[in-house]
Amino acid sequence: MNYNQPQQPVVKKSCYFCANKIDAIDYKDTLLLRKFMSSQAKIMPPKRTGNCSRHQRMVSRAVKRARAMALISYLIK
Amino acid sequence: MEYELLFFTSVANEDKIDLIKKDITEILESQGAKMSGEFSDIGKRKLAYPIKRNTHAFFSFVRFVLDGENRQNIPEIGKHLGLYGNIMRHIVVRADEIGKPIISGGIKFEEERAVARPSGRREKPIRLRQEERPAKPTAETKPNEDKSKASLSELDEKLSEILEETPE
Repeated sequence: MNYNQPQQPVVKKSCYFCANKIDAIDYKDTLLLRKFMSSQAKIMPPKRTGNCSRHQRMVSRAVKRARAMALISYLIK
Repeated sequence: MEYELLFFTSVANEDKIDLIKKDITEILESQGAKMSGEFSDIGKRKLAYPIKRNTHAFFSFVRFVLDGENRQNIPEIGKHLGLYGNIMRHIVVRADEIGKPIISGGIKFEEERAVARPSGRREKPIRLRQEERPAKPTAETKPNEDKSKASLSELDEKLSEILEETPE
């Protein structure tokens, strides 16, 4: 490992829901949820999306509900 | 406290949807729920994954209010709905968690509905496309704007004529 390599500067992203003042996330809103999912239909980590922990919990809950109701798939191969 | 129930039935049960809604209201009201609105249909939608070999399902949701001690009846409602054979799956969610009763990603629902419904709607766009093809060369051949506008109005007339003819 090359520890001398300079680390990339961390760009702090702002939470999408805080920025747009969204208090509630509807699990039926599949287009919105797809934004926070990877191409394999995994829930993206807040490190990549910039979500705050409160909204990340809401997103993950909504995604899991939508999956159970077959609105979004569990995995995309 | 207000809750929302989302359920879907197989496409075969789409004709019986009024009966199903009536049964669901009975189940909810037997547990002390007050319906706070009519059923809103999302409509026929493709499932993200097949469930018991069904690729499509008819979605609908409704909001209801449970107050006081009736709030403990949520598991009971779930049990009854699970035993009710006509719906494939259901979910009961607190309404304050999901906000206003609108389909905010409604665009996608609408698109899919347009694709999913075969009769009537599909025919028109196809015919329109066929008419647009001859329209482009005429617009190109006439350089003057006035003429192109005239041709457009002519086209509109033709379109309306053809569209009038189609339903017969």
